[in-house]
Amino acid sequence: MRRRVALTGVALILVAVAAFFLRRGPAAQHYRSGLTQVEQGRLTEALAAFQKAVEARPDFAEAHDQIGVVYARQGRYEAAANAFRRAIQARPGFAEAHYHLGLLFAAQGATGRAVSAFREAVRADPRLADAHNQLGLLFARAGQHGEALSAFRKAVEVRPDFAEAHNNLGLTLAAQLQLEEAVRAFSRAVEVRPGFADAYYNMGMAFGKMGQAARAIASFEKAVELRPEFVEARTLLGWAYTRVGRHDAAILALQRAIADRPDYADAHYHLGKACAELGRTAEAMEAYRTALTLRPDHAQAWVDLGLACAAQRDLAGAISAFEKAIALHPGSSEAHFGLGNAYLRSGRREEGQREMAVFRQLKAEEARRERYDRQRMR
Amino acid sequence: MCVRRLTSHYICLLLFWAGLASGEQVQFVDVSGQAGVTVRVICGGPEQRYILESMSSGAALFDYDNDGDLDLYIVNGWTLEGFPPGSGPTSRLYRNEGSWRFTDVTARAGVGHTGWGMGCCVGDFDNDGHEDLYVTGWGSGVLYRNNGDGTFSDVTKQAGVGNEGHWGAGCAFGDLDGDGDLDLYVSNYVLFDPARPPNGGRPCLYKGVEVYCGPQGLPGDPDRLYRNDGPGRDGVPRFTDVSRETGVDSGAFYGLGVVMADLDDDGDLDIYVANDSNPNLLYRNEVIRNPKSEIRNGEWAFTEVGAESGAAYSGDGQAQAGMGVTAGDYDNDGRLDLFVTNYVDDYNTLYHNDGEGFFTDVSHAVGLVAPTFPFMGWGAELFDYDNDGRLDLFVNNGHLFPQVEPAGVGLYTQRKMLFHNEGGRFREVTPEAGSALMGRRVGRGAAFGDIDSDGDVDVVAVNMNDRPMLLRNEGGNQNHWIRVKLVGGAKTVLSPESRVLSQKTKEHSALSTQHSALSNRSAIGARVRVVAGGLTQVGQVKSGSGYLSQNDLRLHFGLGGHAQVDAVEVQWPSGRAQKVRGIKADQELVIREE
Repeated sequence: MRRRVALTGVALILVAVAAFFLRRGPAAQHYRSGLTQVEQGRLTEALAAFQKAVEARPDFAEAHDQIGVVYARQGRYEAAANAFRRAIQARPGFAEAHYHLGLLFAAQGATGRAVSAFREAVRADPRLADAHNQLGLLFARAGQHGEALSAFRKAVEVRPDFAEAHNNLGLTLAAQLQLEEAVRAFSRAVEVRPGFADAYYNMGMAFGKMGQAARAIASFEKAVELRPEFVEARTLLGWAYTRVGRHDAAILALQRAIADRPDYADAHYHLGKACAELGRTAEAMEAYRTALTLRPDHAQAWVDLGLACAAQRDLAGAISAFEKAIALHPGSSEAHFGLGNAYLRSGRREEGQREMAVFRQLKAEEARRERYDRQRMR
Repeated sequence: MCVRRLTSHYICLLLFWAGLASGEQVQFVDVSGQAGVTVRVICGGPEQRYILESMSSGAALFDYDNDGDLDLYIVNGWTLEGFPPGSGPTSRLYRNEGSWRFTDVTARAGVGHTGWGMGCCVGDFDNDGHEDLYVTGWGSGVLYRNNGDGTFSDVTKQAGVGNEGHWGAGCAFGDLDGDGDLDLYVSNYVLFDPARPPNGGRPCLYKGVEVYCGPQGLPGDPDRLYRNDGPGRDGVPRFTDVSRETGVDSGAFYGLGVVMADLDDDGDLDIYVANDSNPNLLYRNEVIRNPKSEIRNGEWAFTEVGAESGAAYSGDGQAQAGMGVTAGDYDNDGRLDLFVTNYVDDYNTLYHNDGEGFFTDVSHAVGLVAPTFPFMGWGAELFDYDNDGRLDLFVNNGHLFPQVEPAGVGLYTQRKMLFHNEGGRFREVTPEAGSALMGRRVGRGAAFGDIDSDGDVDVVAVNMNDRPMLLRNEGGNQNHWIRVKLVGGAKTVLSPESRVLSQKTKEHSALSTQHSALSNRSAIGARVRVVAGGLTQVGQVKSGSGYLSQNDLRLHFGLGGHAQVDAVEVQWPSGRAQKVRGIKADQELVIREE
C-alpha cells in the first residue's frame, strides 16, 4: 500500500515537471503568443505563432486546433479541416478539435459529416455542452425533432446556465406545438441571461400561438426594451397589440418599426392589418401596397389587399389581388374564398362556384390538420 | 281602443306620452330585484366539467295574456348531479303587473319546464290569437299551447315537435310556405352523452389551461324543420318533420342561434343558423319563389347558399364560432343585415346585405372588430335604444371556461356591450350607459322589448348561474318613436269538420292565388316600412333571435325628431300590402290584416 502511494506521488511530480517545461518551452511560448494575437484580432501573426509551436512540437494538438480555428476565420476551410484532423491525429480524444471540425462541416453544409464530428466530440467529452447544442441545431434543421430535443436537453443538463441551448430547446418545442414547455425553456433562457432579447422574442411568439396575446405583448415589449432596434420584435408587438384591441398602440409600434427599417415588408403589412381592423381601409390598402412593393411574393398581403378591394366594392382589383395570392400560395383558402366571392358578385358564376369548391376542399383539409394538431397539443 | 279608421284599415291607437328623461346619455339600470325577477338561472356546477354545463339559456318577452304589456319567460337549466324530487329549478313565467312589478305565474300557467332547458321562441302556431311558446332543451323540446285563459298546455306529443334525443338550442317560428300557419325550425347543437364525454373524459387544453373538451371531437346534431300541417281533430296543429327532404339535416354542424328573415327580398322567409366552430348556414327559401312550386305536392325546397352569399364565413374565409344571430337594417338601406356573435379572440361579425343575395363582412369598416375581439358574445340585438332612427347594438358576453380567470388567460365573467350607431360606424358607449352593463357576469341570452311601455326598448339579459338582469332603459324616449303591432288575418277554424276540410285543402289554397290565404296571427315574417320625413326604416317581425331568445313581436322604430310618421307600409307574409298615412308619433299602432 505504501509503495503504491509512493509511486503515485512520483508520477504526479513527473507530470507537474513536464507541465512546467511545457508551459515554459518554446512550443508553449509560441502557442501562448498565438492566443494573444488572436485576442487582438491579428490572425496572420497568430497563425505564424501557432505554426512555430507545431514546428517546435509536431504533436501539439492544441496548436493544430488553433491553426484550424484561424484558417476557418480566414475562410480557408480546407486548410482548417486539415489542421483539425492533425489535432485529432495528435490526440484522438481531443473533443474540442472534433467540435471545431463539426462547426466547419456545418458551415459548409456538410450536415452528415458535421453530425459525425459532433458525435465524436460528445463521445470524447460528454460534458461538452456546445457540441450537444450544435447537434441539436443540425437535427432540428433536418426535421429530426426528437433527436434535437434530446441533444438540447443534454446541453442544458450539463450546463444549466447555457442560455442559447435553452432558447434552442424552446424553439424546437414550439415547432412541435409543445408551447407550454417551450415557454418554460425560453423563461429559463432569460433567467440565466436576462438580456437575451431573442429569447423574449421567441417567448412572445409562443404566447401568440397559444392565444395569450397579453403575455405575448409583455415578451415583445421586453425584447424591444433590451434591443430597441429589434424591428421584428417591434413588428410582432404591433401585431399583438391589435389582438387585444390596442390598435393605437399597434399603429405606433408599427410606425416605429417602419421608421427603423423602412424596407421591412412585414411591418407595412401589419400596419395595414391594424388600419383595416379600425375600418381605415384606404390607409390599409396603401400599407399593403407598400409591403407588396417591397416583397411582391407576400401572398398574405395580396389576400388582404384583395379583401380591402372587395370591401371598397372594387371587384376587379379584388380579383387581381386574389389571383396573385393564389399564384404564390395555391393552398390559401382565404384567397380562393375571396376570389370565389368576387367572381360571383361579378356575375362570373361558374368561376365563382369553382373557386368555392376549391375553398371548401381546402377548409376540409385545414380541419383535418387542426384535428391532428390538437391531438399533438394534448 | 279603436279611435279612428283610415283607408279601410282599422287602426287601434294606444296613446302613450313619452316620458322625458332629464339625462343626456341613455342609461340601462338593473331593476330585476325590485321587479321580483329573482330566479337563478342554473346551468351545471361551478367547475363546468362538461360542455353541457356551459351553454346556458335564453329568455322571451311576449304578451302571453294579451293585456298589452310584455311578460317574461326565463328558460332554466339543470345540473349533472340533479336535484331531489320537486326541488329542481324550473323555467319561469313572470306576468308583467306594470310599474316594473312582476308576478311569478309559472305554476298557474303550467309552463314550469324542468330539465336542461336552452332556448325559446314564440308564435301563435294555431292562429287562435294567443301567443304560444316553444322551449328547446337537451334531450327534448316542449311546445306549450296558450289556452287563452292564462294557462298553457303541453301539446308536444300531439304536435310532433319533441325533437327527442337531440340537444335543441335555437328555434324560430315562421310561415315558410306561405300557407298562413307557422312552421318551426330547431337548431341542434351536438350529440352529447355525459357518460361518454369526448377525449375519454380527459381534459383538453385551452391557452395551456385544462378545460372540458368540445364541441370539437363531438358529432354535430342535425337541425330539425317541422312543417305545420294544420289542426288535427283535437284542434292542435300537427307538424311533419321535413328535415330530410329539405336537406337541413344533411350537415351535422353545431347549431345555436337561428333567425328567419327575408334575406334576399323575394317575399319569403329564409333561414340563417349560427354554428359554433363551423360555417354558418343560410337556407334560401325556394318554396314560394320557385315558379314550379312543389307546395302542390307537399315538397319543400331550400338551398344552402351560405358560402356563396358571403354570410357563412368571416370576410377572410374563416369559420367563426357563431353563438347568437339577429337580423336588422342597421344602415337603413331597406335590406336586412345580419349580426353574429362569436368566440373570444375573434370578432362579432356584421354582414351587410348587398342585395341580390350577397353579404359582405363589414365588421372592420363599422368599427366592431377591435372592441368585440376580447369578448365572447352570445345574446345580441340590433335595436334603437335612443330612438334616433338608427339601429344600435347590444351584446351579452361571458366566457365558457371558469378556469381561464385564475390562470390569468382570460376573463370568465365579462361586461355587456352597448354600441351606438353613428351612421356607418358603431361606437361603444357601455361605460356611459350605467354601471349595470359594466358589471361582469357570465352572460348568455338576451331579449328586447319595451317592458314598461314608455317608448324605449328595455333589455332582459340572462346570466349563467346567476340572476337575470332587467335593464330598464332610462332616457331612450327623449326622441320620438312608434311601435307597430301587426295582427295577421288567419284564424283558427272552429268546427272539427272544418278543421279536417281545412287540412285537406290548405296545400292548394296558397297556390291558387298568392293573396287567398291570410297571414299568421303573429304576423311573423311581415315587413314594415316606416317613413318619417327623410327617415325611412324597415323591420321584420321575427320569432327567435339573438342567443336562443325571443324579442317582443311588435316592431319598435325610433323617429328622432319626427313627431309625425308619413307612412307605415306593411308587406304581409300572405303577399298583401297595406299602407297607413299620417300617424302621430309616440304611440302604438295596431294594424290588422284584411
